[in-house]
Amino acid sequence: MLKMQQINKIYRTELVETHALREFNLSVNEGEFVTVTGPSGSGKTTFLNIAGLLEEISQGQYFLDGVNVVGLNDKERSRLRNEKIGFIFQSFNLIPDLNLFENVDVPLRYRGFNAKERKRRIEQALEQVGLAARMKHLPAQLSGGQQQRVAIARALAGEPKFLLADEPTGNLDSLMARQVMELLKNINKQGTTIVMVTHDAALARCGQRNIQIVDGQVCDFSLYDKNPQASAFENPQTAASTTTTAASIA
Amino acid sequence: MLEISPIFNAMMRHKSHALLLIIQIALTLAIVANAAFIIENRLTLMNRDSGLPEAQLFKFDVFSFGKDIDLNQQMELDETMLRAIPGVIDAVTINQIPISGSGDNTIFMDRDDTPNKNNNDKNLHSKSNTPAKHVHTGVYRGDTHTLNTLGVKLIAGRNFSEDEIIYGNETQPISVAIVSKAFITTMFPELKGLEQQGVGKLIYVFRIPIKIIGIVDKLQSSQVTSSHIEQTIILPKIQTRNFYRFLIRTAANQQQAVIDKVENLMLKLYPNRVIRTPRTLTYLRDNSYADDKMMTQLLMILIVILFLITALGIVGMAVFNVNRRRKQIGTRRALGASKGNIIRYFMIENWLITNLGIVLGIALSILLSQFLMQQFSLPKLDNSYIMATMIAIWLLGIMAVYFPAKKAAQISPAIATRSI
Repeated sequence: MLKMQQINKIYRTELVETHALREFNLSVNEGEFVTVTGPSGSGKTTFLNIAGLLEEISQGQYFLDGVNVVGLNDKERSRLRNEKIGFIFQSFNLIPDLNLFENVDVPLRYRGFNAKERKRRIEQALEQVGLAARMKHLPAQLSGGQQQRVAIARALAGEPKFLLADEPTGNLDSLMARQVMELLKNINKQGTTIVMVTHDAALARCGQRNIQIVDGQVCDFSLYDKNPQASAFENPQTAASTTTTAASIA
Repeated sequence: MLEISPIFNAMMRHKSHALLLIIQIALTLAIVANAAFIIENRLTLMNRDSGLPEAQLFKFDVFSFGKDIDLNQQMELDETMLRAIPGVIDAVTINQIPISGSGDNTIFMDRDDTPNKNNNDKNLHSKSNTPAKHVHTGVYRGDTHTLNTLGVKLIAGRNFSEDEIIYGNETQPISVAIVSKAFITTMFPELKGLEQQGVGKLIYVFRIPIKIIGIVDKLQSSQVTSSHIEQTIILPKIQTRNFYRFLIRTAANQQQAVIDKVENLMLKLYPNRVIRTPRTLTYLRDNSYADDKMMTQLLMILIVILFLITALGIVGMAVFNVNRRRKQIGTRRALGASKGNIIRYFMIENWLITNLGIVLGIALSILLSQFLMQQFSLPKLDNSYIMATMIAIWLLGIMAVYFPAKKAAQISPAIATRSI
């Protein structure tokens, strides 16, 4: 699904050259739920931006669902983002002036679906996150957890192969965090590849595989559990400790 | 792909942001459309043909203070001398100068309807049930040289003969006149297109009948602001006063040379008088239309300023919106918007605001026009001015919003993952 080879990302200012990623290698298979952790400044966000085609790489190769993204122009990158990737942001990034229906509609319009198809997908996606009854509400009228669920619906409506989640529970309390994580796990079960960036080690255990980034490189490549049945949220005791940690950080 | 409805809905949730700009655009449309219309009207007024070879004409005034001459005779001598100057085509003493701004006018009628003791209303009504036609007319007085000096074209009838000219000390009433074509069509509307048939018709002033003996194609009066400027009459009379004026027609390239000589030659002929600075008709025209010219210039400046302020308003609004929505723009980019989509978003948003302003502006233009019609007797605003202003505002809007929109498109999608 995602294949990064020898990626370097260098930020240059007049005085300083920062290697945000160096010789970064990573493969994520279709259907996997991978969590990415690392301390502040380790390069997590840079990895996320590059994986999500939000930034270009300085050197290396990156294949997204078999497509070599190096050298694509803005339009091609935008199209690829729109079709392949669903984004979930820490601060939800809903558009405050648009109601829920219109928010979920945003990526679908860029895709060019007709009105009927968009309506079907929006209703289905909002149904899936349990907010179909509140389509005409504005984001400000919802709780944080509900907003994040709308954002997930927005990510799902385009039926992407790959969900990229950036601290999706970082701004939520424990109960809401738990609901969102359960939703993500369900989505993954239905076959969508998920890469989730977090700095919460406990939350990182929710995935099938955890990757640690330190100083712009993949440092630790540990497999928590290859069997999703036994992962954190399936076990009530582990789940409790995880959500507590998430809440204390948030 | 257009996304008008979500942009419109989002805008409606922040009405106050757009409202000021909408009002500004509406006012600009209303004022510019009306100002452009007024400018066009004034320019038409200023560019009216006077019917005269203006570049060949100049005038000067004479004030005689000597008591030792016969003024009638002196005027004759002056005319003869002036006509003999090389370069002069003709010269005449005349009571008023065309398009100079001030002069004589009176009302002529198509029949004598002045009630008096002997000729009462009964008699009048036996002639006609309708009252006599009153025509405001600019009055020129001069001799047989008047037509040639003015350079106007006689289209019917004849010039005055020398024996028809009445000099100041003579008492017989005026009996003949030459009039402009416009005078005929106003006085006798039934002769429209057949103005030549006006020769021989009688007109009345102060109960005196006057016979039309000639018709000139076009001759404007002195009063440029009057709506009766085209209706003129030339009477065969030379008034004898110690203040009189000459109109002189020269070959166009000789005008300055003649002007330079005129004062000396006049004083040489008789010194006890003052010759006032000669003025060309071009100078007098500029002077008469100075207010109109200033008005058009002021209105043009007003239009430029209004357009500038509106453009700045649109730029300011767009820049404000771009900065307010940086994160949203990044998010849209992350969700698949190309740079083109972002530019289009701001263009459409501005286009919607402009259109709302235009709709309001059309209503305001019409109201303003009605107000101007009532207060200043202006003609009704032509719709083409509203259309033209509308198109100008559309183009202005597109140009003003393009650069802020392009700047918005440069915002990196990576801003979406920054938690601020």
